[in-house]
Amino acid sequence: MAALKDLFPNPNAAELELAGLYAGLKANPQRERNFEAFAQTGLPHTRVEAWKYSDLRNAVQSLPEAGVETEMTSAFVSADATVIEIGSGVPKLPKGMRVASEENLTALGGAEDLPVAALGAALTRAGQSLLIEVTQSPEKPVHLVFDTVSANAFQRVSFVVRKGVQFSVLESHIRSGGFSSIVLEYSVEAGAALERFIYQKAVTSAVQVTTCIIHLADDASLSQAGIGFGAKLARMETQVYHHGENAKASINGAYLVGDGYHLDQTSLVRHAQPHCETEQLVKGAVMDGGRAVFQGKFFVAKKAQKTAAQMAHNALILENGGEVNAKPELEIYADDVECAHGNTVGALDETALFYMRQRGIPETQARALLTRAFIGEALDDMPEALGEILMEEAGAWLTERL
Amino acid sequence: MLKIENLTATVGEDDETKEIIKGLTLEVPAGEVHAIMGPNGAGKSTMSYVLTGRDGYEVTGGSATLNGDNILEMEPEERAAAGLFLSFQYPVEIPGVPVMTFVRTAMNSQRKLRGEEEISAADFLKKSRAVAAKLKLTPEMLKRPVNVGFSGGEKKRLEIFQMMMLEPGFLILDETDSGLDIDALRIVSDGVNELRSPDRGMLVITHYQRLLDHIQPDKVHVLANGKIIATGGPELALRLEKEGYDGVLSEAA
Repeated sequence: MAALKDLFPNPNAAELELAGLYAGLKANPQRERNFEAFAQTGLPHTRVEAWKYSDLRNAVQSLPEAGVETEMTSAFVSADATVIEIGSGVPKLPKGMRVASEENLTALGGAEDLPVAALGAALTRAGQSLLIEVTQSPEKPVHLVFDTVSANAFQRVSFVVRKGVQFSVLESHIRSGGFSSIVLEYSVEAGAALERFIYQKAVTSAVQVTTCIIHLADDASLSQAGIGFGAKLARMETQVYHHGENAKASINGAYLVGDGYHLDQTSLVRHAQPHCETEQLVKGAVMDGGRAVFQGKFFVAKKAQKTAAQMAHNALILENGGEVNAKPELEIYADDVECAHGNTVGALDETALFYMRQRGIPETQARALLTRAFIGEALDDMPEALGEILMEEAGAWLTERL
Repeated sequence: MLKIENLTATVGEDDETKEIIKGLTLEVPAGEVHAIMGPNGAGKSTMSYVLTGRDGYEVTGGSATLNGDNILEMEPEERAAAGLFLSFQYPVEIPGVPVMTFVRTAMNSQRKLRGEEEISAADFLKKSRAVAAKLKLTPEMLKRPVNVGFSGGEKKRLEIFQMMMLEPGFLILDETDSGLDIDALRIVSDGVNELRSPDRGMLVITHYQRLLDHIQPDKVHVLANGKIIATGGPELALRLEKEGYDGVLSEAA
């Protein structure tokens, strides 16, 4: 353990406490690998390229002692779905799903590049990590509810979605304080389809990192969308691997970031095989004192010819003082591909606002309507009922703040 | 009804400030339709923006009242609720907001500002169907986002649709005829004529006489260099069409 502690270049109180938490857990070689992967970087800060806009080390100077501050609920509670609470024992699963392991400590792939996910995987206690096999399409979507209240939450859920299965998941990432690192893994086998819909909300004292790693085999597909409101620092990271041919991924997202909130949406899509498609549309708005980060990267290997990948991020700054940092990136080694990225940051269209006001719509309502419509485009592909739940939430949020 | 007295207004800020309206006086009584004609740059569009309260246009003197109420002190949405409607020369696209949602929101916002009850969903639907049929707007068009992907003629018809739905007390039509073919011009003019009523006033801004063949004005005013320089009956428009503005301008000078 002393050796591990030495790995931290200049540990802050939180890192020492995390090492303490690790030391208190049952030793296991995989756990050790995961923690070592974390310790190489420690809590990442702005000099770590992948975290240049989100200073986690500064946000977590010591581990919080108490979590609960306010009762918070997910907008998805009104959705017609089977709720699975992670962390409260072995969940009862619907037909077509089974728990393959109640303690999934397997070493996280690519852990060195995902230090905070590696930390989350290393610190899961018994009952906080699950490996779930999906062999048949469940009748209803599954609604995953993660720890919302503990001072420190480390949870991991890994799914194997078997060949040809359609699997629809709602994820509620809600934190009423504290520090959390939640890890999700989806292995989507040939011809299987994953739908992933995300709701993120937290208080301004919470520091929340959610990392999702998705593997797509031949002809597999991912359709992802969601909405996030940020936290003191919230990072929602998605990594997609196109391992097979003809895999398709759509990773969209909307955000609304108010005063005192920081939301980082980072994604990396790796195209390793030919004929894969990726579409990404992220749209959001920030208020004075809010900060949004978009980092998107498409990697296309030399072998991945005929890749078609489009990335777009469009942000609105609703008030002076709002901040948006965007880093769209393409790294392409194949020569026969169609890849593009676009990024815009602007204000609401004054002409449109005047037009709406001339028709009798008060300014604040006009601003809310325009903003809602703007971010709503990123949720257009969601099933209508779920999209409406999120849009209603967005509308209420805007009406309250504008 | 609409009474404008010695109005002066500027556009732009700081060093860029330019006086465009230079002592404009005009009165449109209820039940009348007045046309405003004038050369490019006379201040026709500026006048419509000043009256409706667009940002960037500053009133520096004079007054404008609608039914005795000082509209210059009101927010744009309050002027709309008071009955002022501007049909835009270039109707604006509102991405992501369907026409029906937009018009219903506008109607209910106006009603709320006036302290009236909201319209029921059923009544709104019934009314919108009837109006859309008159203007040859399909239900599919009304589901699309406001003006997005609409042709020039469709945009103008949508302006008239909003006008007929909202039934404002005073209409300003800013070059509603621009970009219209003959058929569209007829549909639009029929819509406008249907709104003529003893308690409604209209100001029709146009470059060309042809619109006035369809919407016959009670009076024609010539706006040049920020003020009204001539007023007459419909024959004034015919004379302008024949002679151009030069004759009227030199008489005024």
